Amino acid sequence: MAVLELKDVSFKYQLAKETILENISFSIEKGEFVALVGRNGVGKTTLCSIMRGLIPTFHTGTMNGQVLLNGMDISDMSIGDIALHIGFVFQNPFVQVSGVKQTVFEEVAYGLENLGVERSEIIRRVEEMLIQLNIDHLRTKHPMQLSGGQSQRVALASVLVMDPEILIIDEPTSQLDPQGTEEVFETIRLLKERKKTIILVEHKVDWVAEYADRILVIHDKHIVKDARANEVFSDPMLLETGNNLPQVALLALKLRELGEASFDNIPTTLDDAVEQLKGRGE
Amino acid sequence: MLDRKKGPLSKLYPLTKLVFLFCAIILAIVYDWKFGYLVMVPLTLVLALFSGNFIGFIKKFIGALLLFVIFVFLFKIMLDKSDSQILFQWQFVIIRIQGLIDGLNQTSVLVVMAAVVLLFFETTEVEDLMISLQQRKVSHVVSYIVLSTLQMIPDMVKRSKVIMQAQQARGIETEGNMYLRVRAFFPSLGPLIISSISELEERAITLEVRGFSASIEKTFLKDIQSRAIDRILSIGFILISIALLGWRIYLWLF
Repeated sequence: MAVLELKDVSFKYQLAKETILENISFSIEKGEFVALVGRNGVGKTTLCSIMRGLIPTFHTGTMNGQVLLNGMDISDMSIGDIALHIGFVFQNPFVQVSGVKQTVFEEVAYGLENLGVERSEIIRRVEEMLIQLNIDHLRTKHPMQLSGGQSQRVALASVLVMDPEILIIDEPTSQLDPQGTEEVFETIRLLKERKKTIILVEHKVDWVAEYADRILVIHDKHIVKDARANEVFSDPMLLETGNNLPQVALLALKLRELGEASFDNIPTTLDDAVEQLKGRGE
Repeated sequence: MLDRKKGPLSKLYPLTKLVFLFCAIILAIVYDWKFGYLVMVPLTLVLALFSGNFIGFIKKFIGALLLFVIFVFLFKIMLDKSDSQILFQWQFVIIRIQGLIDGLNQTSVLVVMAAVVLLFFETTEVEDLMISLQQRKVSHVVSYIVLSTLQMIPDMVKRSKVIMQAQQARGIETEGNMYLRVRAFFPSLGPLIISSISELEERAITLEVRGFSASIEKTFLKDIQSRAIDRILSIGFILISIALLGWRIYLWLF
């Protein structure tokens, strides 16, 4: 059974003239890693908020359709109880601090306090998460006094530590340097190994191609493509929706266009390219 | 976890200190200046020695009160028109014994209140107080509102500085004489209020994402518990206060 299913969802913000999303339908299976791809302002964050139940509760507007969480209509669930199932990491990490905690350690622990986790277990899980996200050195710092990258990791840690079955992560690396990005994706890989269901919004398509199972391309209010990662990222049509292709796919397409190389399939990851180019001599 | 408050008093259960605070204020109200200045203030100063930050306490105590107390004190002395004994006279300045007593009485409650409240916050984390109140079944929503409001003040100060800097960057004069500062300050209020309101909404969403209203009994990372010593002290404060109140009523009646 699908853990999350959207049935014909449309949404228009209260003061907007037009709908931002129309007739969105898809379902996500347990353990699947789905990436949402699309231009800025296309409605990716709106879709995330709909899946998390924040729309229409917090951001008011006209919503049609149905969101099912483990077969239950999300509108019948309390917004607080959805936190037991879905974790949500916002695009802007600075607004994701509780505002009542004095240290990073306490901030990361806050969600677990709300979920009634035992104190010893809270400490164990927070310690583990600080090390996993490489923020152990920040444990005594005030959450409001962090840099963008540090805030982003703390925000991610604060949600991951709650160990929800579904994770919606909205551009978790927008403020991170390449090393930070790699570490975050390494964490996402570990989550994937632990069979967590992950929904990721991310513009760094090279990383997405490497890790995601399935890509949903949003364009002009609709999902215009829903396919495996290698299929989506090897298709030059993606460029027409204002999205980018992985560097390795662009290189392969260019080489093929110039007649310099031929590929059975356009590679979308580095490993894939190496595999296809191996044994071609000079 | 970081133990931010040092000193033996910080180890006491917040509600024990709160009981002391209320007892001290009630007694200071019903007794005259001698009790306030000769018993409660010295007692608070002695207790402040165990706060772990005696110098800081004294600085805040003097900084917060000195000018105000002197002003109220002088005001009472100067306005006294009773026919009690004159202690000092110089031109139009006449200090009478009744004015002096009135001044001491008026200020003693204020000084005791300031001393015990300051000592309370010098030795108690607001979050610890809120946890102890939640343990006594005070709603976590109330607790959050109090905590976040206290946190919001420094945040707003910080944000107003950022807004002022943004205005400076656009060429608006924000420094100089009082007129210039006031003229620059008022336009910054709009963005400050709007950004604060918008942050409130985002904060509410953040809290929901972190399970704030999940229908589960909350736990606490901080291990704050009432010990035997806390119970003994609380009962002791209450009994002493009742005895002193009884004595005071007896004195009023007979």
